[in-house]
Amino acid sequence: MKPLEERIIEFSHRLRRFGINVSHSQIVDALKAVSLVGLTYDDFYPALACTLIKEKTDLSIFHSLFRIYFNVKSTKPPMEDAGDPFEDVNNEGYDGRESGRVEAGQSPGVVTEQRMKSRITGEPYLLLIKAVKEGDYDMLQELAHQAVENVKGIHPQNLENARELVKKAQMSIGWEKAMDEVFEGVLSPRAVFF
Amino acid sequence: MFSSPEEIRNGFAEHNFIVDRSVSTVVYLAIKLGRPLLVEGPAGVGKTELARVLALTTGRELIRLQCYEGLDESKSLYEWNYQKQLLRIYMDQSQHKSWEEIQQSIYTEEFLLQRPLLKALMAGNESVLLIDEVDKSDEEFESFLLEILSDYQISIPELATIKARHIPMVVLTSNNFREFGDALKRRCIHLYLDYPTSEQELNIVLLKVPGIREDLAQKIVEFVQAIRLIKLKKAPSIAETLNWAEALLELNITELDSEVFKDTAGVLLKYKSDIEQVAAQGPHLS
Repeated sequence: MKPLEERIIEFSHRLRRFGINVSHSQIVDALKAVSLVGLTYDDFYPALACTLIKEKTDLSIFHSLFRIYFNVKSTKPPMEDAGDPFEDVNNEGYDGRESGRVEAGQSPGVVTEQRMKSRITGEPYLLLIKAVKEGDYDMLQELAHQAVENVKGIHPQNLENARELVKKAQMSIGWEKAMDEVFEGVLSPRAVFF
Repeated sequence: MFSSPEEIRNGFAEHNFIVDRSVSTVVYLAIKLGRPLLVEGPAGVGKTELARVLALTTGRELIRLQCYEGLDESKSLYEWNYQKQLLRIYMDQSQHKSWEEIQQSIYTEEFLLQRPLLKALMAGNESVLLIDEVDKSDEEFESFLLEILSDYQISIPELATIKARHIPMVVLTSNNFREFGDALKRRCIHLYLDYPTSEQELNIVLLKVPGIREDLAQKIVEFVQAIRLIKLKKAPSIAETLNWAEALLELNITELDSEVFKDTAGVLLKYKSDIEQVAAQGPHLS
C-alpha cells in the first residue's frame, strides 16, 4: 500500500487524465485539507472535492473516480448534488433559470435523441471510452457495477435509446467485440451498460 | 477558533442553521487553510445565510458587499469624501495655509470613505466578509477582487498601503449567472449547497415553525420536495417552505388537500404559471 500522500497525488493526476484541470496548488491544498480532517469518508470526500474540483459539472466524474480509486462501497456522495452518474434519464434535472425554455426542435418532456445524448455523453460515457482505450479493468468493472445497480430505475423506452447510443459509441471505437470477450462469463454484455 | 467540523456544525445549529457534516467540513477547511469560501447553488438554499450564521457563530461583524454589474473600486473599496475635502480647503484657505499644508490635511483617514473591502481588510479577524453574487459583477472587478484576495492588501496612493494583519474570513456566493474566471475559482475552497433532503427539511420546519404538527410538517415537506422536481420558473426555496408552513399553522389547517393548496399556493409559488403547473402535474392531493 502506498502512503496516503502519494495516493492523493496519483488520484489528482488521474483526475487530470479525465480532463479535470487540477493545479499544483490545488493538490497542495488537498493534502493539507486531508491532514486537517482525517480519513473518515464523510470528511475525506468533501476535503478532496472542495479543493480539487472547481466546476460543479466535474463533480460526478470526481465521484466515480473517487469510488474506484479509494475503493469506497458507499454509492451515495455525501454532497447530494454531486449527482449519480447514471441517473434516471427521465429526470431532466430541474433548474430554475432554464425552466420554461425549450430548445428549438425539442418538445418538453419527450426524451429526444439529442437530450438522451446530452445525458449519456456526460461523464460515465467519457469514463467508458477512456477505460476501454487504456484497458483499465478496474474502471470497467466499476462502471459495470454501477450500471447494473441503476438498470432498475430506467424507463424501458429510455433503456432502448440508451442502449442504442452506447452501441454506436462502442462501434465508433471499434470495441464491440472486445467487450464480449472481457465480460464473457462474468456478466452478460447487455447488463454491462444500462 | 474552531477545532473540528463538528464544532462548526453545532455552532450553526445553535443559530438554527442546520447543515450536513460535509458542509461543516468544507467550511472548517476554508477557515483552517485561510482561503475564501466560494458557495454555489440554486437561489434560496441559504448561501447568504451561511455567511450570516458564520459571523454570528464566531461573534464577528458581517461586512457585506453586494455585487452587481458596474460595481467598481470606488463603490467596493474606498472613495474620498470630496465635499468634505472641499470644505476643508475653504477653511484652510481662509487661514492662509500653504498648498502643501492643505494637501496634507485633506488626504487623511478623516476624509476616507471606507467601502466593504477596505473595511474588512482593516477589521482583519474581527469580520466575516461576504461578497454576495460575485457572478453578477464584471470581469474587471473580478480581476481586482482576485488581487485583493491574493495579497490581502491595497494601496491608497495618497495615504498608505494597507495590509490586513489577519486574513479576514471571506465568503463568496454565486448563482452561476455568469461563468467566472478560473484564477479566482482556484483561490477558493468550493462548497456546493443544494436543497436539503426531506429529512433535513423536515427538521428545519420543525425547528423554525414551533407548534406545527409533525404529520402536517411531513406532508408539507414531501409536497415541496416533489414539486422541486418539476421544472418551474422559480422552485420554492427553504424560506418559502417555512412561510407556507407558518401560513397553514396560522390558518389552523391540519390536512393538506387540493383546496388548501389552491387557497395558499401564493405563499409557496411566486408565478401564476407555476401554480397552475403544480396544480396540474404536482403530487396528488385529495
